[in-house]
Amino acid sequence: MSELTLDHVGQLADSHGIPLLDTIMIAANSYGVRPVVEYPRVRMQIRPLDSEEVWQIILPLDNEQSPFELAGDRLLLSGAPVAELVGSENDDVVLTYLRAGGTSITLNTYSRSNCTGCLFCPNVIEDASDATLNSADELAGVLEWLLADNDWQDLSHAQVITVCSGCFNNPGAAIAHMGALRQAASRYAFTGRLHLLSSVLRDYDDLKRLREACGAMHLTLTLECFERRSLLLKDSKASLTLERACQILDDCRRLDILADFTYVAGLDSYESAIQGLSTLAGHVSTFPRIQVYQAHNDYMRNARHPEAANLSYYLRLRKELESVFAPIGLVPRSWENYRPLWYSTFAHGPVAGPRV
Amino acid sequence: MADPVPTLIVDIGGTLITRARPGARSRVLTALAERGVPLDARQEQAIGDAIFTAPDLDACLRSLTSMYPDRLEAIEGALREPAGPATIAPGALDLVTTAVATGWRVIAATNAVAGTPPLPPELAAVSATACSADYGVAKDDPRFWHLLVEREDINPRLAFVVGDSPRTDREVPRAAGLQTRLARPGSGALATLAADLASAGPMPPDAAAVVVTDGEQWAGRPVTTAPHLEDLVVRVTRSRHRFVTGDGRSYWGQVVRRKSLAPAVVLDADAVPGVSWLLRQRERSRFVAPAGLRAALAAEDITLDDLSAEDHRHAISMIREARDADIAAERIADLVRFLRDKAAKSH
Repeated sequence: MSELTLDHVGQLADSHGIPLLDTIMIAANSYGVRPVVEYPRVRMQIRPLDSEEVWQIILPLDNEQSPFELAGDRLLLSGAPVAELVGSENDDVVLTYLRAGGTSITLNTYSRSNCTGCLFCPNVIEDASDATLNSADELAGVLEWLLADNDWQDLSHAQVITVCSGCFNNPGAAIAHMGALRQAASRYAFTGRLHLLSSVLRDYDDLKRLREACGAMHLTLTLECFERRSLLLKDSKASLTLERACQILDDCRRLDILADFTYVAGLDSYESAIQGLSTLAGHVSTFPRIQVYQAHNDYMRNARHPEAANLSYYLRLRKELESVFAPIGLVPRSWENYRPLWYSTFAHGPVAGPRV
Repeated sequence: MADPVPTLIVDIGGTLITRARPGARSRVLTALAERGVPLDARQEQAIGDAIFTAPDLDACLRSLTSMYPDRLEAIEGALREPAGPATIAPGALDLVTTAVATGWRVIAATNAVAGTPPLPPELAAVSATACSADYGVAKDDPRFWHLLVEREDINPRLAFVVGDSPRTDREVPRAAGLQTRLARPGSGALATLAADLASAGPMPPDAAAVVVTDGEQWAGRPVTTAPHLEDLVVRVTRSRHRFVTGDGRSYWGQVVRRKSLAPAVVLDADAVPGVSWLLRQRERSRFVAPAGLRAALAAEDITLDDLSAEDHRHAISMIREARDADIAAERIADLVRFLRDKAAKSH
C-alpha cells in the first residue's frame, strides 16, 4: 500500500474516469497520514494543489506505513505535494461544531465519548470533552455558549441542528433528548430541522412520538455495514437488519421525517456493499452518509475488508453507486460528509459546496 | 525551569500606592499642553514610551527634547519635579502580607520614570520590582510581560497580574498569556483579593495552576478568562479538572477553548471562589481485561503490553461492551488472532 504515488493515483483516476482531486481525497481518508504530532486525529483545512477551494478533511495521524505525510504546510503523497495545509487542530469529541458556514450545527450532547463497542469508532481512543446534557436548560446553556463564541444574536439563520450519538440506550431517551433540544433551540429563534444519528428508534410509534415531540426531523440510521455486524458493531446497532432499516426508512417517509443512513465503505465485500446500498437506495429521502473507512490503529486496520485494501475498491464503488442514486435524484453535499466517496463531482455534475 | 512558587504581580501606581502629585507622564503632558503644544493620542503614546522606558532622567530628557526641542525648559521642569510622597493604598498591605503568608512571591510592576523612589518600607515583602525603565519597554506592550516572566522565572500557570488599568494591567498581560484581576481604586478590591488568597490557602502539591476570577460573565454564566491555560486546550476543546480552595471547597469545572478569545474556566458551582487551585488530571485508569480475554491471551502466550494506552482501551472496550457471551467470545478470538499475527510479523 505504501508504494502509492501521485502517478499511480493519476492513472487510477483516469482509468475510472474520476477527478484526480477526488481520488487523492479518497486515498488520504483510506490510508491516513504518518504520525507527526501527538494528535491521533486532525481536523484540517486543505487546499488541494490546482484547486482554489479550501476543503475540510479529518484524518487519522497514526499510520506509519501511509504514503501520505504532513511536511510543514504541505500534505505529501510519496513525497509529492498534493495539498496545502491551511489550518489544523486536533479532533477530539467536541461538544459543538459548525458546517456550511454555521447554517448546520452539530452537537455531541449525550455522552458520545462514553459510547463504546463499534470497532472503527475513534471516540474511545480520544480524550473525552463532551458531556451528558438532559434538560432543555442544560442544552440551552450549550447553545448560548455557541452564540457567544460565534458572535451570533440567535439561531434564526441555522437550518439544521444535528445530534451525533450512538449511545441512547432506548427510544425514550433519544426522543426526550431531541424534544428538550427543540425546546432549547426555540428559545433562540431556531425554526429549522433537528437531525439525529442513531439506530435506537425502530418502531413506527416511536418515530411518530419523535416527530410529534420535535417537529421537522431528519433521522440518519447508523447502519454502518452489512457483514460481520456482531463483530464490528455494538450490540444495540448490530441488531438492526437491512430489512428492518428499509422498513424504518419507509416509516419515516410516511411521517414526513427526512431519512437516510450511515455506511462505512471498506468494511464489507464489494458485492455485499453494492447489494445492500442498492437495496436501501429506494427507501431513503436524502443522500446517505457513505464514508470512506478510516482506521485509527493497527487493530482497526485489520478490520478493513481485504478487498478494500485496493484503492480501486472505492473508485468502483463510487461509480456504481452513482448509477444507483443519480436516477432517483439524490446527490451528495460536501458539508454533510467530510470523508465521502464524492468531492468535486457526482455522476456528471459538480458536488454542491461549501466544502467546510 | 520555571519557579513552582505562585507569583502575584502587582501594579504599583494606583494599586499598591498612590502619590500626592501626578506621575511624570502626566506632568510632562500638562506642561506641554499649558504651553500650547497640541497633542494627539499617538503623540501622547510616544511621550509615555519615552518616559517609561528611558534608563535615567538624562536619557529621558534627551529623548523628549528631540521630539519637542523648543520646550526643553518646560519638559525638564516637569520631569525633575520630585515624586510626591507615597501613600499605601487601602488593602495593599493586607494583600501583600496575606500573599506572602500563604506562600506567594510578590513582584511589583511599574511604568514609573527612572529615579522614582522605592516602595515604602512597609511593603518590604515585595520581593522584586519590574520597571519598564529597566526593561526598555512599557507595560502596555506585551513584551514587558514576556520579559517579566522570563527574568523572574515565573510559571504563568501559577501567576496573575493585579492592577487598576483595564488596558495596561488586564488587556496587555492577557495578550502575553497571563491571567489578571482588575482592582479599581476605592472599590475594596485589594481587601477582597487578600481574603480570596487566604481562602485559597497555600498551593496544594498537586496543583497545576491557579485560577483567579475577575467577575466576568460570558454566554450567560460566570467565567474566568484563562490565557495561562491555553496549552490545556490544544489537544482537546474542553479539559475537565478538579478545583480546590484551602478552606475545603472543591468543585469540578472545565477549561474551554474559545474561538477568538482566550480559554475560559467554567466551574460547576453557583458561588465561584475568587481564587482556586486547578489540580492536575489523574491519568485515566487502564481498563482491566475480562477473564475470558486473559485466559485466551495466556493460552497463546500473548500480552496486551505492546498496545498503547489508547489502543488498549479500545480493544478492551470492544470486549466489555459485548453483552452476549458468544459475541464476546467472537471478539476475543478476533483480538487474539490479530495480536498473534502481529507478534509473528514482528518476529
